[in-house]
Order: sequence, then C-alpha cells, then structure tokens
Amino acid sequence: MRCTPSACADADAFAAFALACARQGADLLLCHPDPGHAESGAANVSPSAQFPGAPDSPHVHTAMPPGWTVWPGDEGEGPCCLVGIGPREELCLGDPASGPHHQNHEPGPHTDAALASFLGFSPPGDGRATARGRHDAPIPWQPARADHDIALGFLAYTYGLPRFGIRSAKPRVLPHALLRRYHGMARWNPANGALTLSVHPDAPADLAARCARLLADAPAPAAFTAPSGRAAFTTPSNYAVLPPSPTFVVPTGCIALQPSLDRAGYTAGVREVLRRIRAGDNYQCNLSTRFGLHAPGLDPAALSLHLWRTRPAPFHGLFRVGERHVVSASPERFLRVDAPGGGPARVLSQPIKGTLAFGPGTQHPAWHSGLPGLLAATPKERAELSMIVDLVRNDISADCAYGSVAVARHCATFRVGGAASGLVQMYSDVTGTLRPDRTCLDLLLSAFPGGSVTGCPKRRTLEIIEAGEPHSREVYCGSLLAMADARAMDASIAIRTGWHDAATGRFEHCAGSGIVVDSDPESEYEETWAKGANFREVCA
Amino acid sequence: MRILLADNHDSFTRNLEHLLVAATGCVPMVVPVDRLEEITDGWPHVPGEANPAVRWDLLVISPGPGTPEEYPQYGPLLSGEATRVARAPHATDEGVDARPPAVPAAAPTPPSSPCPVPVPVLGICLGLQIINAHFGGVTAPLTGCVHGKPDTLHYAGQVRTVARYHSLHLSAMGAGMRVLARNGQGTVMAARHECLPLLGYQFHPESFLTPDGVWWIRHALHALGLR
Repeated sequence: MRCTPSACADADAFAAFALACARQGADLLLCHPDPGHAESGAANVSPSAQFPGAPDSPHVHTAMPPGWTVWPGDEGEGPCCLVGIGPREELCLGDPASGPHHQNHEPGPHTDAALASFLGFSPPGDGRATARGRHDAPIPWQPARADHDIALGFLAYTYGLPRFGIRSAKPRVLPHALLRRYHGMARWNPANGALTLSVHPDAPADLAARCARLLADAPAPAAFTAPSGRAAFTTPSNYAVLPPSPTFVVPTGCIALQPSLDRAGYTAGVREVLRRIRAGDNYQCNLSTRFGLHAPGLDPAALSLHLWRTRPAPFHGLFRVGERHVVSASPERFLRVDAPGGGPARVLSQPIKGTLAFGPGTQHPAWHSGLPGLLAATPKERAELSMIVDLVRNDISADCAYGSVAVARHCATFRVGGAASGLVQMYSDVTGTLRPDRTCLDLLLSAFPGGSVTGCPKRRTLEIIEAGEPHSREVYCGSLLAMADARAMDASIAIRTGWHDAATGRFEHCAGSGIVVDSDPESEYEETWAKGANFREVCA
Repeated sequence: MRILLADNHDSFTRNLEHLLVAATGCVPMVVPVDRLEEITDGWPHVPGEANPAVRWDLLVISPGPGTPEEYPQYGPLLSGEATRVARAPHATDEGVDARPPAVPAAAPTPPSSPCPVPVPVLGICLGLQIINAHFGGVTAPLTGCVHGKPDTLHYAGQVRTVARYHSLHLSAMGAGMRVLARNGQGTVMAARHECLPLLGYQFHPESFLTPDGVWWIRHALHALGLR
C-alpha cells in the first residue's frame, strides 16, 4: 500500500512544516526555495543571461542542467526539497558515540560493501585501483519506485582517507558515513508548491495523519512574529531573500572557542603548502581551519531552516545523529547521476573555484556587470579552476565510458549575495556517461573526497592536509547525498557545513581556501575567515 | 596493441587512460607504481597471456608528485644498468636553471647493437623526468612554476596550445637525450632519446587545456616506431 497525500504549500508553510518535522527528528535536504532563481543561468553564460535580475537579486548557483532530485518525478520537474520522516532502515558506520567497536568500521572494502548492500547494489569491485575489464556485465537496473525508497545521508571526509593510505587518529564526534531510508518521505516542489508524502507500507498507520496535522498546524506566515529585541538577523534590503525565520533564536551564553588554526597558524600552514607546491609535491591544496562555538541551547533544526531562508544555496541539509546534528548550506554540487528515459546514466560534477569579493573594503566597492568577466579573465583564478576540472575529469573517468568525459561552460560565473557586497565565483560542468557495469555508489567512492576541496595530485595532497590541519574535518568536505537507485543520485560538497553536539554544547564548522603557487597567505586567511561568515553571523 | 600505463599515484592518470583509448583504440592496463614490480616480473612479456611470447608494445609513465629520485622502480624497465648513467657530481638540483649538461659516465648504447630498451616508453611530465634522470639528466625547481595554465609551442610546423603543470623542469639533459621542443622561455617541453625508443612530454596532453591531445599521442607512437 502506498499512500500519497498531497497538499499545496508556499515557502513559509513548507518551512514551518519542515521545522516541525525536523524538531521531531526528520532529516532534510533542501534546494533553494525560489524556482525563479533555480532556473536562471540554465543555458547561456553571458553575464546578462546569468544575472537576469541583476543587480538587485542574488543569483543562486543551482547547477543546471537540471537541479536537485528530479527523480522519480517527471524529468524537468526541477529541484525539490526532501524531508525524511521516521527512519525505517539505517546504516551508520564508525560512530564514535557507539563505543569501542566503531573501530571495526574503519572505512575499507567491507564498509564499501556495506553501503552497497544497504542500497541494494552488488558490492563495488576492487578494480578501481588497478586494471579493469572492459566487458563486465551491465548491472541490472531497478528504478526507484517511490520517494520512500530514496536513501538520504552523508559520507564524512574521513570516510575517504583510508583508501589513500591515511589512518587518521584525530578525535571525531561524527560517524564516517550515515545512510537512512524512511517510513515517509515528503517532497516539496518550489516551482508549483506541491507537497507530497510518500509512505512506506510498513510505516506506522498514523504517519500520514500525523504529517497532515503538522502541516495544518504550521502557523500561517502572518502568524509569525519576531521575538522582541531580536535584531540579529538583519539582511540588506537589496538582498532579495525570504524573510528571516523568526523561529530561530540565538541561544544566549554563546562563547567563541579558539579556532584550530588562528591567523598565525593558518598563514604558516599556507607557507608550508607553498613550499610543497614549489617542490613539485602538488599543484593545489585546500587548507582549512575549524571554528568553534560553545552554544548549548542551539536549536539545529531552526538554524538549518533559518539558513535556508536567509542564505540562498542549492544544497541545504540537516541530519540528526543521536544528540548531534549536521547543518549544511552548501553552494556546490559534487556529483549528480540520472538516467533520463531509462537510457544511459549521465554524470555531472560542478566544481567551484576562483573567487572575487566585492563590497565595502574590497577593490570593488559595489557590484557591476563587469565583475564576472574580470574574474574569468584572471589567470590565477582560472588556473585554480582548471586544475580541479582536470582532477574531477580524472576522478569520474574510472567509472565513465571511454570518450564520454567532457567539459562545458568552463569558468561560468555566479554571484553570492546582493549588490552591496558578496562574492563572484566560477564553476565548470564536467560530464560523462556512467559505465553500464557501475553504480552511482561506485562513482561516488572513486571520486571521493571531492577534488575541489582537496587538491591535486589528490593522494599526496591528502597527506599534506592530514599533516597540516590539527583538526579532523569530520563531515566538512564530505558529501550530503540523496540516492534513489543505482543510476539516480545527487550529492553536494559539504562546505559551509557545521555540526552541533547537544552533549557538549559545541557547534563547530570549518572553512578553507585553495592554495596555489601564486597564493598570498594573508589573502587566503581572509578568504577562509569570510567563508566562515555563514555560521559566525547567525550564531554570533 | 598492449599498453602498460604506470600510475605514479597521480590525479591525471585516468585522463591519460581515456586519451590513450581515444588515440589507439586500445585499453591500457593501469598499474600503480607500487605494484609495478609484480606486473613486470616477466618483462617485456605480458603476464597472464596464453602465448608467453606476447610482449608489451608500450609503457606509459604517468605524471606524479615529487622527483625522479623517488621512483627507482623504473630503472629495470629502462633496462637497468645497461643504460643507466650516474648523475655527474656537479649536477645537483639547487634550483639553478642554466646548468651545463651532465657529463655522461658511459656512452649510450649504439643503435646498431640489440636494443637495450625492449619496450618503447612514453613519459608524461614526471615520466619524462624519470627517463631523463635515468641517463644522468637533472630535474630542478622551475623559477616561476606554472600550474593549470595553457602555453604555446611551435611544433611540427604549427603553433600548438598545451597544458602545463610544471613545478620542476629538465635543467640538464641526460646522455643521448635530445630536446624536441622548448617554450618561449626556453624551458624543455618535449624530448626523446636519440637512438632508443624513449620519448617524453613535459606538458600534459591529457589535460582538457590541450586541445589536440590525441594528435600528441599519435605523434609519439609514430616517433617511437609504433604507428
């Protein structure tokens, strides 16, 4: 039996529904709420086409061709938001909270097989590292039947280290990997407001009724009132976003903790990376620092929805792991796989590199339409992206058909923020055709962790990162993902991502910057500091 | 055509694999450098073939991190002591660009004798540096190193765009190594051995910034007597 109640909800009503669900333990993967923004930048990369509403509306990089989780709905349905309600099956690997036996879950072939088994795929072959046959039998493909078959979860950065020979002993609070399937999966399509609930036959009988009640009880937008004296979330008037969620209240008594690398430590790290680059060890290395906040009263669900409404990004997410929560507001797609019409599976990766800041205190006091072209014409920034494009080509090539890997829209630009201040960034589309004998999990594992947040050559760069960063990256630079079947996946790069532990009251988040040979240590520190703004500003 | 692609734990090896397929129609066997020894046990014969006389047609040495000295595994495949030339004592890599060529400790094998390199070798970036170092050549840090940027070469009658990932360069040529191309700054961009089937590119034909990567591979195969 499959019950699919439907309703229509605007962004406010959906946000209230999602918040109510999340406070009861639901997981979230959210696209940007405004379908108008989702469609922009679809075809051309001329500045006028990219910024249809410029200069006042923020442009959200939504990574077309098509965006977030179109399956199993009609093709071209556009990005959707998913709410996983009531975990039905769960695979949690290497959770430090689960006692000493978590060490049996050190990532390796057996955990890869566990992931595949959970997803209903045959175990990944061990052929990725060596020679491989070209005539392996195609994998029988069973398309996902319903939304409640979709698995949501994440791979932490730490999941990817052992395959590169790195045994990290840094303390962690999060598991290496989490996958869940749910009793109910709610899907909200911002383009038409349709909210559907797909319920598994084994779900509790009253699940649909309880969800309907949550939706009905969600206060109408007019009923929202900001708590008095709370002016912490002012956004510039020209920042065309939804009103900030008044349900997120900054916890009192927050204390900023010492970052893992302060300015002196970070710039020293950059200088060491530059020495390694000049010695021929690598070309680019992403170096991060970890910021911390003692925030015992933080409501991670409210923080996630608040970020969703105030910080436009295509890959928001919230996952609960015991008393811990992962909160992500990522601008970047790692990998998408789909198989339109049941045909060959397409692979899309969209690495982001290259940054130009504008606004007060920068070289460019305000937005103007020449900035994207200026960024795309800067050799250092172009090179930074080109290197990662070559790396991502390599990383998807292990599982893509020969001759299918291509690059499009190289150095396309998008804008984060409004006209007053923000960033222009670049990305490229790297595409391929998944081999018929491979699954999207094979692809994910081969390419993991993502090239744009590591560097290249990847193996030696991961060693340099492991030695140079005193903290574990945890889920940062890992991937939040939704996987429907062997040929349907969307996965983000988990940047602008933090995690809260209710047991300790700590909220931690990382930020980093790509170091190349012509990097300036102080500028890279400034960029890293700026990227930490998402969480710093809302939690300050 | 049987191609062995040795992977120096690089992040462009799969790009090179796809390019080799595009240029030759043959799928190379990709082997990480730390497993090279077991695959090349019966060198130059291909392991696991029904006919034990079947030989490799081409060894491709991938790019990779570090310096040639970190990769002693290739010595035997470049025919070990028969061709190896000790590095001249003055030729240390102190980062000085204009160095006199290393003095060979032994002359290369004349072309008339049986070829001491049984399988032709194509080296990319580090691969070229490994070949050059085998003959006593020197690899040194490149002042103003270049990563992920295109450059242009005048080669075979045309101006060609090539991708550079270039921290170290050939500061002195090994014995018998002949420069095929230099860029506008005079940096060696392609070289081959004057009588042995060894050729290398310092730039990256497998990069998407090199528009005619297939042409470069076919050109190398032709120069190595394979096409």
